[in-house]
Amino acid sequence: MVVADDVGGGRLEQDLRRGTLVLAVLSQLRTAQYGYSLRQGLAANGMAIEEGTLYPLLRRLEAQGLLASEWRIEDGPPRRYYVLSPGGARLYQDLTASWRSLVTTMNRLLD
Amino acid sequence: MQTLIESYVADVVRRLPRRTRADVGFELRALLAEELQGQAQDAGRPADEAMTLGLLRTFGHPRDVAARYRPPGLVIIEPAEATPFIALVLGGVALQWAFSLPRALSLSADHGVAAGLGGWWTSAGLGALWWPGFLIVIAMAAAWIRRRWPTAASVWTPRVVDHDSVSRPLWILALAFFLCSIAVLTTLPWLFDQMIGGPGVHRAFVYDDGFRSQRGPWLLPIWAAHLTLIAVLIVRGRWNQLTRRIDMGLSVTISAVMVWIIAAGPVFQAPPTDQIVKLSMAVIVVIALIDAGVKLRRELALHATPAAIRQAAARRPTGAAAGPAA
Repeated sequence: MVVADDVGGGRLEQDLRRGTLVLAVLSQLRTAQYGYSLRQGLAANGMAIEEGTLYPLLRRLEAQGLLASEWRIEDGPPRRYYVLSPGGARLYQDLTASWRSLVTTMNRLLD
Repeated sequence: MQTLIESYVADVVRRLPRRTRADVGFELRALLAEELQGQAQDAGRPADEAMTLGLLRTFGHPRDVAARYRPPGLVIIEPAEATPFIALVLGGVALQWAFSLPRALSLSADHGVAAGLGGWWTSAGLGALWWPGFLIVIAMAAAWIRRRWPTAASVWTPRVVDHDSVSRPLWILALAFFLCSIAVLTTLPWLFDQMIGGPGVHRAFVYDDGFRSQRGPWLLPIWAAHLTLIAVLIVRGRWNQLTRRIDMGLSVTISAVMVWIIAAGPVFQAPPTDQIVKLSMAVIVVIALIDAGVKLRRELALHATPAAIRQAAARRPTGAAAGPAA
């Protein structure tokens, strides 16, 4: 018999985390951040995201109108800062409500 | 190290739309530099080539990273349709080659096999590749329609699944066509003589004596059986197991008789007519056998029990099958 932990377990966990990725990113971009600081912040809160996944995701969310961005030069090299757009802020509210409902449902199922 | 990052960024951005290349490249370069600096701080030593290479490899292959920057693209062939599509492509090309290669080799028999193959490859061989191109254009059009009108393409409409039902008007038409064909075939060459006239036409449709007296009559009982089957289907309005099996049996029988007729000798006295008719008969045999094969497979699938259920039944204790003891 195939053992799920060996073959599919890691993959399924990745899929589970991937589903939460957008909401996690949106939650941190209520205040403007650039890619590296965002990744560090997420990792510090236990949500480590590979850089090769996060940086392209920011661009895609911006292309979808959920984020706004601008180049800033402060105490270092030029950096592109991202923040929620009005549409992104509305989506963040909706997704947060969906997430809370999902967590309640899942807790009920898992208990 | 900077050269490695430059090379990596260049490899990513050349795969992106031209208008975004400079901006993404600039940002990616800055982010990678910061990532590298962070890693060096964590390791407590300056960044070196190995560390840079490790970072870039973790970041992903430039092809994959570029793909992540792009929004999901247009799917031309859905995963569920990929296998039938490949079968259709390969089958179409193989069929064209199967017809064109023997003909090309027989026509160039005097010039040798190599010359024949060369001539065939540069004409019909490569020419057969129009088929995959044609199918891809059709798939692109279908994908565009799905994208343009997603609701229309994704709304499922129920259909009546009744393989036993018979369309009476269609089968009445088939019966009429069948009767007309038999009438034409049994009255040759007199019919063409009456309709068109002329000695040339008359001679072209004169049956071979051997076919008329020995081989041809074998077709009559099979035709009669087929006509009876069609009449029964029209009256009953449905297929059943018996009529389906008779139909398969008739297809196989008529195919065997036609193969025998093709091999045993001429059908018509005039060679051109004979060749054309035999080619048509060969095509009919292929179609009839494919049809019989498909019907047989469907018949077997209809009555087959999935292997897992058979295994479960075999594992069941014998007492359970017998029911409660008296």
